[in-house]
Amino acid sequence: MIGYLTAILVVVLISALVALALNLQWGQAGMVNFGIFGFFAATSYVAALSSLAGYPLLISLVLAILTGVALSALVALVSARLREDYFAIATLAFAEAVRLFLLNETWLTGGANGLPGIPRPLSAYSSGQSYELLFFVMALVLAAICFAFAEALTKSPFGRVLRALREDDLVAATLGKHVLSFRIWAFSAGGAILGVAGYLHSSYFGYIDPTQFGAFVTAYAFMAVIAGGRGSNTGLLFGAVSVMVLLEGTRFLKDLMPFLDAGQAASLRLILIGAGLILLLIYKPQGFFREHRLRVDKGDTK
Amino acid sequence: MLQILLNGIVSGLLVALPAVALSLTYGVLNFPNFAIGSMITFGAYIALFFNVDIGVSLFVAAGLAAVGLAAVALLIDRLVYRPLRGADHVTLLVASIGVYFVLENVVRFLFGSDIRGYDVTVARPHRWMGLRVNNEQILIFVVAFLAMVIVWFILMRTPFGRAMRAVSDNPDLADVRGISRNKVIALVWVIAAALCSTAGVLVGMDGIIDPLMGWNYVLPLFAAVILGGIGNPLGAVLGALIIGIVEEMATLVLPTTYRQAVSFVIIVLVLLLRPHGLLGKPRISR
Amino acid sequence: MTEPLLKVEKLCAGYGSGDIVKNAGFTVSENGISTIVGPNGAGKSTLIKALVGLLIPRSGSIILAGKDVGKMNAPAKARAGLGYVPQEHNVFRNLSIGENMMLAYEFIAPDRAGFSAARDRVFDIFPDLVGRESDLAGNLSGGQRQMLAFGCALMPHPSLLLLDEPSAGLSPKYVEGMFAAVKAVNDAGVCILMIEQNVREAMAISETAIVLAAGEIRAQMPAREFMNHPDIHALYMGAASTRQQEGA
Repeated sequence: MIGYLTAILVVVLISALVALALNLQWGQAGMVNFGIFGFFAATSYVAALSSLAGYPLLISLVLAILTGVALSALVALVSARLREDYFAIATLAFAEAVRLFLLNETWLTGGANGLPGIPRPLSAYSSGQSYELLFFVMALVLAAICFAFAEALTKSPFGRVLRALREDDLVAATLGKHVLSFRIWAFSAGGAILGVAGYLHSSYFGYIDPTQFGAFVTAYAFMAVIAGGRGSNTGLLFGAVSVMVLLEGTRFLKDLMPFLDAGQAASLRLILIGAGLILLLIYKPQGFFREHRLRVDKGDTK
Repeated sequence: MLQILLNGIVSGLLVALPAVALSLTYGVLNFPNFAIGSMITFGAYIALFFNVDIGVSLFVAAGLAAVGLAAVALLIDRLVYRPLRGADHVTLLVASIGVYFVLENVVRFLFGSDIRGYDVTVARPHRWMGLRVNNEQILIFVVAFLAMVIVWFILMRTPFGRAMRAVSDNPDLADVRGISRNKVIALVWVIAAALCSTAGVLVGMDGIIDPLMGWNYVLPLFAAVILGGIGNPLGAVLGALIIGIVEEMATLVLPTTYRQAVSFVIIVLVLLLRPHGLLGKPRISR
Repeated sequence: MTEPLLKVEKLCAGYGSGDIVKNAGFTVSENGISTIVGPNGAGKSTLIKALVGLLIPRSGSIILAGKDVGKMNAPAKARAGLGYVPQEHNVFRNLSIGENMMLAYEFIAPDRAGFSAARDRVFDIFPDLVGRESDLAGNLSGGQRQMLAFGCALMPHPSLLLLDEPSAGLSPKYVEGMFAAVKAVNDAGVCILMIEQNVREAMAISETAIVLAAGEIRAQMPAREFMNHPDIHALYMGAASTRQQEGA
């Protein structure tokens, strides 16, 4: 039972971190990162390759974080100037390019077969059930650090500037703040958090392949951020938990409806996710929590 | 070399159909419809159902697919986009991703993930002026050409087409001039559905029908529309042709699996250098 | 005294939670031009949007030729005979002049045959537009666009024409021509309700002045009386909120 519980909790933590990254990038800075699954995939693979090459926990973790930051900075440098929908398309294009790379460069990434046998960190210290607990504690610590980091950024002057930029580019630019550099910083900060998430993902599951990083990651992340109330880090926890509950809950669909085969159950879950996202946008676009500062109105309907 | 050009033009024409659909919906509904890939897939599968499971000819099945997809598109507009009318871009964007997931997975749920094919006989390629041309290519050429002429005629020579362009240009003014926005939106969805389902059937004729078929076109479609200039259907056609040709030429140097990378590069280049595309007008960003 | 063509009573309209236009009431009669004046921020654009149907009023009534059009949306109001020339973005820039004029007619007027007559009528008033039908509206100068917008609003024979600051942003030469056109159109039988900042020039051609300030109608009186009013300031500020029926 403990094993199952910690498993769910670790998965929740990883998703919460991905949502946290999106919250920083989109919730705070207004950068619509549709391609978040591509960055997540990249950091995961880097962590996996590093662990497989024999490097210890810290090195792999740092490499993953650096990858996240570097890729995010690169993409932001190129696209930060773009309007929201163009930016979304650009990040999506990037993520697809990453996916193509992962599928084709089999010598490095194992192609469609992925990378199996990723060594688990700290396995020297424990095994079996207590290992699960150990890993969970490690994940919790890392997640807590990321959350503290994100909260600090949010509450700082940097965070205030980001929110001002998010509301109105033109006004913020006349204040003399370098719009571009703030956005790139925010995007990269999100990338760092994705690095941690990627490391945890590959070291927990021990095996990664491209199908784990599909566009549904984007859907979950947006759901969590929107449900939690864009911009609120605590709300986001709620969002991530509820999305996970929805997902895990729908896993039991197969038991409830035995006439469905595995493939159908899987697609049913994704249908529910899509429908859930739509319902959220129509009925609760502000989420279930308010942003901790001024309430953000939906804005002009033009 | 001429063969490459020919192949490029044909694949470009194939992309041009849903690209025009994307451009029209972008203009009138004012958001990029990410679900377009799944509309292609859905249309292909409706045709598959009628062609293989019911047994009508592919031609009839394609017609039924257009009608069926139009109905689905109108339903989705009513359920999803109408309640969100006037919401900001990102909300609509994310909603269209939700729609994407629903459509693609409904297909997967009903038909499974196996690769399917239509009930058509595969003819041998012809030889024409030293080039290899197969039946599908001729069909794509004819159908795409016809479709574009029809769309052009509707847009430029009919009141409804004028109304569509008016709503794209200035929705409030269109209201005041007596144009019913909802009727125009319905018409756009019908046209877009017809274009997407036709494209879906043409793609499917190549032999590969699976739930992911539409996703592979999302990038090239957006690249075409961005290259041509958002909101300009003619630009979308131009963009699609260019991408088709460049992709074919790229296969000379890149492995074919990296075809889509071409779209990625084009998107990045256009957004960096000339965001309004070839035929679009420069806009003030929000 | 004939029934006024437009009767607005207790109109309340706004966005979000508050009301911007509060309890507005005024009338527009068939003869002569009526002009709404008032300080900036008085709620003019909200009032116009509510009248035209781009914003549905919260309460109150708008009676056009005896019919209550208050809750109708813009297309329905257009078909009920309400014409509108917006202040900005008043032509379809990506369409040609000819197409703009076609669009202005075909979705409001029921008979297709009347199109060329309507178009010729507009050409009579705005000869500048003749022979340029395939030019893109977006390529016209500001003054020419205004003319086109005006002309388009006239195409479907509206019974009441609403003009939102027709002289705004125009060079002096065009302002004169614009007001002359407004007068000419009114003389030809179209009832006009105008909003204007250019008070003096507007009053010179108007019959009635309607004062709007802080979302409320402060006064309605003959234009001459308004121009000679001893305390216009008080009128605007609401100290003298006299509401007189205009003479026939």
